Amino acid sequence: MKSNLLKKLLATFLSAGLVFTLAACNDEDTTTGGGGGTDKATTAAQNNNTGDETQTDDPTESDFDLERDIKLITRDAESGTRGALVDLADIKKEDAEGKKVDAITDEAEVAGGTAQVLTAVETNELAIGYVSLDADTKSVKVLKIGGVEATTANILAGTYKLQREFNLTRKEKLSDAAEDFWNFIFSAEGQAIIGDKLIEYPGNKDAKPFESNGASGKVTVGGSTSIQPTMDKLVEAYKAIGDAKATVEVQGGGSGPGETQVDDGTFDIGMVSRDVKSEFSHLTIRVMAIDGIAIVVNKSNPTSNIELDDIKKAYMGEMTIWAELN
Amino acid sequence: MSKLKSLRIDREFFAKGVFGAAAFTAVGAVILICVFLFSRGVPAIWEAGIIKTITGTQWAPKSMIFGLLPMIVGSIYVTTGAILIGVPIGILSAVFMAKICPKPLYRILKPLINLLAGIPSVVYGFFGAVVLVPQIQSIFDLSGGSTMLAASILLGTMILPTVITITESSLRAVPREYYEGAVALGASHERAVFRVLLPAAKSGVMAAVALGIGRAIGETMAVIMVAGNQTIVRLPWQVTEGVRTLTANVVIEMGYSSGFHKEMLIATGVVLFAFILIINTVFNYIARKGESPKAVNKTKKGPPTGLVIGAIAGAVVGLIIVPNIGIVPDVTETLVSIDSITVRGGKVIEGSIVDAEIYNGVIRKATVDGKSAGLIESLVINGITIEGTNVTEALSDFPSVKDEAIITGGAVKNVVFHGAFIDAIIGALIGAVLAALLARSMPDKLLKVLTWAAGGITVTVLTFIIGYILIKGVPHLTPALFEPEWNTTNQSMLPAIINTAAMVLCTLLIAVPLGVFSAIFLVEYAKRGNRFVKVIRTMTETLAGIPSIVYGLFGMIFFVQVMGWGFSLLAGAFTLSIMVLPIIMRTTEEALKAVPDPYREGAFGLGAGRLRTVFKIVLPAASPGILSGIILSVGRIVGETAALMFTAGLFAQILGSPMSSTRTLAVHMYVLSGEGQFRDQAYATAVVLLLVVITINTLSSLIAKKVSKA
Repeated sequence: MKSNLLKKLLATFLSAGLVFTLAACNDEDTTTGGGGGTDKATTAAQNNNTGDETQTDDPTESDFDLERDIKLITRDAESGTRGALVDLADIKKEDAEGKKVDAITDEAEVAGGTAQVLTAVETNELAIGYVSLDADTKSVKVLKIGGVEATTANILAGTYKLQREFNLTRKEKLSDAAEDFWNFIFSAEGQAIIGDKLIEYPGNKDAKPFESNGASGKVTVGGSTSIQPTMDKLVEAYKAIGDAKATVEVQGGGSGPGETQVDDGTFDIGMVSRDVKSEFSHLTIRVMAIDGIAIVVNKSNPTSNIELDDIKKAYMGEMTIWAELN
Repeated sequence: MSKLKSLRIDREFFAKGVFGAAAFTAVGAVILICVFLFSRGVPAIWEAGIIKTITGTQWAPKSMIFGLLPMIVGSIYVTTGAILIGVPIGILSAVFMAKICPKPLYRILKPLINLLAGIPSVVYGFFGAVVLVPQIQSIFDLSGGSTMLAASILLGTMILPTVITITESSLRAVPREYYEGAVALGASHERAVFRVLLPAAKSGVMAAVALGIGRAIGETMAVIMVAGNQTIVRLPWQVTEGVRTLTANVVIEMGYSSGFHKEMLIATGVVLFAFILIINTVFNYIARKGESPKAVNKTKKGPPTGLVIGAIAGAVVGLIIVPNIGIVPDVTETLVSIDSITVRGGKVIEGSIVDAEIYNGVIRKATVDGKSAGLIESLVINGITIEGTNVTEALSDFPSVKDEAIITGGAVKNVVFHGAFIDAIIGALIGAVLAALLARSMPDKLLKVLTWAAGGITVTVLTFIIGYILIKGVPHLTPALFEPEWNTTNQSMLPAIINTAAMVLCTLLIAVPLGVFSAIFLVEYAKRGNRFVKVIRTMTETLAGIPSIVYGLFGMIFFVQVMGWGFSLLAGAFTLSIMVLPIIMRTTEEALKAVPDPYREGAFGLGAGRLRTVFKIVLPAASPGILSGIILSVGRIVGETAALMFTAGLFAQILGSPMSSTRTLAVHMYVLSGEGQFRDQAYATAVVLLLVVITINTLSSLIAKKVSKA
């Protein structure tokens, strides 16, 4: 009886041991390419002494291994930020019909939102990502693009290339209350608030001081969550004005609803953080502000500058290790 | 006298009608969901082509290519992984709690498990992204830790409370005599628990597993933060690669989509729904096979269930692990030798010692003697120098070169046959045999050790997650976060707290009577084996398996658009009611079943009618179980994000009316974190969410105690 128990115990531990050895061996299979995977941990473990074979830009950061893979962090296909980056850095290829389409490699990790991009970059020294300049980037490092820093002045001067427009949509006819809030957004006061958070669109520069029409009623604003924080600020300022009586409700939903739900009448005013799709061109569209796109990397990454063309190559999967970007 | 009697019969009749009607709401809800989801999703699939949609390996909305295969396999892998991790630990923990752990420990453990159930998935997601993902990255030496493995571990943790709670209550429902009988026949405590009680509680355990699968396959918010979300078809053993699940596909892209893309996302929901239906049918079939009286004799002939399940699990584990070690080498065909390569800095390396990996026809990195050779500038093949590293270009004379060609020993080889596939088969066989052997002859002592270990893991994980939230959030709890009016500078969560309370109240008002009445109908009124009961059960199980994101889609189409309620508390509450209905029904049913029949017989014997018996005798006796179901539901309501984003909207102020858009605490936290500006406040909000859950749990356990004393 006892020896039987021992045998069973032994068998158990042996099998458990087997499981653990298997797990431990896991990262050795890739050098032979036998694991079936193509994009793997690869030879990182063997890369300990790369310093003598490749020149490092910054000798003080020598513990960052430039031979390691670039981990691309991207956003979903229809994200306004992604669309803008793809257009601006020309990350495109021709598809079967000869149309130029988004060519960000499928191997890139897709983050569900700005914060997730930031978290991924903050916690992974091999990662690179892109976010709205409006986001809180203090936990990561913002790269220069072609030597130009991402500042308001450089964006307005046009030297910082990664910039896009934030749009508002509405139907031609609006309730008086909604019209009042719309006028506030594009008044001098409204534009000043936008200027605090984003970059004022030059076309809205000659805005006049706001005069409320005094209409009361509910106004529903919805759409892009990238624009929502600024919209919330606008609502607060609007409420503080004595004779403005409309109640404004700001809802999220994303840029899609910023078009569709304005079209079907659920929203009075829609927020769209990308170009409005051509099928909604019958709506009234107005540029609300300009936003920059920041290319971000981990703080321990020695890289400080990236060329526009290298962004393209990296995101198309043509440059795969950090040494190629430096 | 006769008047009184007829009055009572009328009342009984009326009550039966009410209970029956309540039981049918589950059926109605499933029909509604089917009709409205299918009417939007199916035409889209039809237009894109059913086969093309399901077997398409590419998802490129901008080019109008909508292949769902990557997401379908992604969901399957991640769910399987979660089950492999969560179910054994969950069942063992439940056994530990119900039968093994000392009483004082139980008093701490039980509320902790309830707390684990109440943590919103967004919090799990944060935790996963910041703690788990970097860990996996460094352990496996990857370029990024957002992988199938990370998602499986996180989901495995998230389904623990569901599996534990339901398994535990069904274990407790097994009559004492079973245990006593086993012990009297000489079985040890562990043997009696595992060989007698656990099999006797099989239907409850199955329900727990089914709900666990439902939770895992339907989880959205946490998965998108850790899974990587690449739309690439992976192989089962590529656990260190990123995948995208069906749910993630909907949530990530819904916000920005429009037109046909949006219809295809609803179609994604339909596919997910179809999946759940298939899984439920399979589970129902298994459960029915086990329950029907004829089967009792049959099962004795076949192998025991434990053995079969063990073998399957072992096969899956083997299938995942063995290809990663690579027993069988790849069969390759040598195409051409490389004479030499030149790396950056002008260093020339003799070709015969070079290994390299090729991806999309491009050499990624070359290694010599296992060390990185640096960036390749040119290579010489057959005396011809090729600048750059494009292998497909270099080998244009060899049209048979595929993207997955490899370079080893300085020769370019085509992979003719992946050894990994044979490895997978070998692994599955070894795993199945080993696990079956183990399942057959598990010694009692080991069982005991395993239950303690499972209990230990559960406690550790829980403490870790809670500790993490507290450390990150408590320092940022400022008075400004509790100002009555929300604005962009204070980011106050008070309105969200009030809104959450309103949402919970409103949802429970709808769901609790419906759920409890349905359960009463099923257990106390309906005849066993009744066909309608079967239909209702199936529908309830279907509902239980529907992911919250699908509820969100349905709520958006039905309550928000068709009913014209807009983003509102009401739309949110109705959506959530359908979502928590099966939880309340299931737990109430189990609790009612656990009330011993002598209670009822006693009441009948004293002349009480069925209605009186149910309300005065059975319900009070079952109330702790029912309350535990309500706690689970409140936890889900408080923690729900995906279903509310599309139904209740994001309005951040205290709600004015049931028709106004409402932002609950969990949604508030998601919004705060969503744009990356207020992450500290998001953590602080998570702390408050935790406190809310603790409060609810304490309150309800107090109530439960009072009730059970009375």
